[in-house]
Amino acid sequence: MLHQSTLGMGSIALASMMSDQKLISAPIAHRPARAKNIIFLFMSGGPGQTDTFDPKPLLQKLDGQPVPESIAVNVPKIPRSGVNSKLMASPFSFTKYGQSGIEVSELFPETGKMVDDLCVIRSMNHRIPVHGPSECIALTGTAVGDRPSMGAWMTYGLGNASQNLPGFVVFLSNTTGPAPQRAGWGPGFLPAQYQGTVVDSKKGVPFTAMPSGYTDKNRREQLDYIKWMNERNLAQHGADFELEARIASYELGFRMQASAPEAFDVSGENETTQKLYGMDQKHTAEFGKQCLMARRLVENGVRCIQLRNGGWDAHGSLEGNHIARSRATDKPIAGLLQDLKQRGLLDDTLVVWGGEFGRTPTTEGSATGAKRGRDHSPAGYSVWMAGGGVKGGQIIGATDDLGYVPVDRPFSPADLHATMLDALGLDQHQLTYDHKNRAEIPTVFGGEVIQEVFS
Amino acid sequence: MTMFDGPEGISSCSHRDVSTVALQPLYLLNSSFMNNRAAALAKKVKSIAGENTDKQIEIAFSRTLGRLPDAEEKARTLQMLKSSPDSDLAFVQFCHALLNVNEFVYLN
Repeated sequence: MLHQSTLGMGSIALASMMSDQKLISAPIAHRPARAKNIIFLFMSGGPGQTDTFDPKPLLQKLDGQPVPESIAVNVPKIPRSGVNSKLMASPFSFTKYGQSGIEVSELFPETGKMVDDLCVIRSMNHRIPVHGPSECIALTGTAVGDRPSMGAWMTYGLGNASQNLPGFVVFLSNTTGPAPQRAGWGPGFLPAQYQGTVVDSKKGVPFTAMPSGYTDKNRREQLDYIKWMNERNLAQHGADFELEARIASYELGFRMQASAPEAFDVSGENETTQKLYGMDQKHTAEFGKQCLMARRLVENGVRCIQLRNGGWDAHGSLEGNHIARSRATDKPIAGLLQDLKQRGLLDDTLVVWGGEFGRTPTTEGSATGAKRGRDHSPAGYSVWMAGGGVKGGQIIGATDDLGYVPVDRPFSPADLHATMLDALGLDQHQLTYDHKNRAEIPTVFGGEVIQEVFS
Repeated sequence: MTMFDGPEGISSCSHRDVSTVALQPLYLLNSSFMNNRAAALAKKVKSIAGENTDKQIEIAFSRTLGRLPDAEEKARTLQMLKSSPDSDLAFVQFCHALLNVNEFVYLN
């Protein structure tokens, strides 16, 4: 086989890959799963914690003042900490929502209504203040970008429940901001079958449209010819799992070509549903459609979905930036949560919201008025989780009075990863893959389950 | 490349993993790159072989699989070529098929 060639293709020699049915890999379960599916709403660029889910009354009072020494002393000495800049009050007010009374920024009036389903974690932190490596940390666990994405680990662990669709689907939106890091959905050292498939929400699964000149009839003729040739080849070489797997993969590919477009087609959804996701409004149409597709994919057996929304990088004019970004995503996200809930899918589906880091409580540079923005701050930021066994209506962890660094229950992205894996019934210490004679695990630099997330 | 287990450029790779997923054949069958390669191959084969269909099949086999077709393969290929009313298109699709058979995709 072509193990050493540049375009080496073949199977991972899974003895089970005898039929196309068995191309669907079997799940690994370490413990009872709380959730079957995961939807990661990745807000790239870094939403400011003090403007979204971590209100700080003191920050409002100290607008324009230097950072008090009592807080500055605890800010990690990493570049761009902004600790010598002037504090910047959030331009946004916060409102208590739901039974739990959790405060949510006016940026998210719709998500706020779902707050009793959210577990807000206010004490995330790491030490890399740059987008690319941070995005890798947030989605793979380390900054280098050479390790498998969490989605790939999950797909490896969970298997693919769909006969006709990839097991891990990624949507990109608003990619004008920091460049999307491919490692965020890449397979790293895991086999390629576990990587995320980036799907264009307008075009669906890549390469499902036949080139010009092809019809169902002549494509079938061609596939029959390929199959005839392959079976003859197989007969000459004796039983070979890789060859058989490839024959099967062609049949799966053909089925995917036929059925994938249907799974991505939201035109059959009724008007009420489309409106729920904001598909009728210009600014929410794109992300709303992706959120609705995410629900359809979950229904079709896709276990792992990542929706990346870029552009939260508000160095200047934070007010305008965050208004635009939240306006594009708030209603679609709330719609997704509501829709999953009303269909009984939320219990089985873990939804995670967050960026690669947060933003400084101080102003970046010398901008004034509405031009003020915040620099990157990995030292303390917020994420939330919902569905999939998550105990909603609670806040875990806390930052100091200005939102700079965690003062209670600090968590790393790897802790979040271990928690996400746990929700899916996967133990981060037992989910191993042999690479370079080492049993690799998803949380290579540590990372433990945040137990109180779950009810 | 990632689709075919190409290694990451940023770390060493002592062993290449190989996997077989449905997106690979979808790429090999439907991408404009592969379709264009098939069209180029068909053109090249015809420029060498001329109008003789038998000769065309032989050249196409030797250029992709490094061997001549046996009688059965020749007959099966003719059957495929005759299935379409558009003989030029059918020949491109035959060349495209050769770029997808295991014998081409795998090195033994």
